[in-house]
Amino acid sequence: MTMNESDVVFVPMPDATQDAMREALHELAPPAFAPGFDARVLARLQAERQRAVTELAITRQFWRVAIPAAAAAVLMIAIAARHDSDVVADSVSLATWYSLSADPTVQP
Amino acid sequence: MPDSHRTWDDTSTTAELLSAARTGDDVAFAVLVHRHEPRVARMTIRMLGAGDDAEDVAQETFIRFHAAMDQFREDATVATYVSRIAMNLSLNVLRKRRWTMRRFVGQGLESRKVLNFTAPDQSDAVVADERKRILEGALRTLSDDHRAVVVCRMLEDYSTRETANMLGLPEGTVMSRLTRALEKLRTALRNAGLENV
Repeated sequence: MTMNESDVVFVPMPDATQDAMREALHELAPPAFAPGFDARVLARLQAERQRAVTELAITRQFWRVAIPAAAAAVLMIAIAARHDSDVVADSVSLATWYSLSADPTVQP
Repeated sequence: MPDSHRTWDDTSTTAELLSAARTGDDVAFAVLVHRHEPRVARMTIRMLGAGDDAEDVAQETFIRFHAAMDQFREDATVATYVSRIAMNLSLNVLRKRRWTMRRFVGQGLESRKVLNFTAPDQSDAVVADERKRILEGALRTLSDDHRAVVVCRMLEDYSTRETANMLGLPEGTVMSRLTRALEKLRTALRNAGLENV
């Protein structure tokens, strides 16, 4: 049986001692970043926005290719179905591959 | 609708700044960042030490805040949110550091932090400086979990409940960790001959 950390009996530190420790800790010089932190955050925000725009463009480009390719595959199936069952099977595999590659969750 | 000609500054209310920032006003967002930067700096630098990691975590905190800005209406919730994000990201960095230390340096080495205190001079100013130096050093030697509780409860003055919520712990665990952490800090001061805390 494992024991939760909060289940272990402990003697709380008296309030006065805690207050004294808090006071001592508050005397420590507050750490700070170099000046211009907000400007650096804004620059990073701009970079993140730019990256999002680029990713959106790539996704759109992908769909421009994937949709015609999937349509071509369906057309191939339709043509092959009138001729040879082996060709039909190959076409189904091809169409499946195109469909999977057009999955929006798959990165191009 | 925010006034696009308005100049934002530290007298602007959080609600005004949030409203403007949501519409894409980066100046308003920068004022919000400036307003909460000290708190985030204290938390990240106390947790990670001064350096690139602390600044990187702080920047990431505000990037996440920007992405989640729609859910805020007032200053208190913003402060709590950025604190929580800053603390969680800091703990993630510490976990990665620990993993790297174990993976590439070897187990046990990370815990070999020995405080080497010397008996201080006893003039008031020197004692005060010495006490600060020792406290800073002792804070760094606390475990990540204990330091997180000390930063939230003692340095940022969050309540036990707020700290528990922030760290995802039961309140009893927060209290026990705080007691143990403070005992370690007191011991460090005693070992250095500074027993007035």
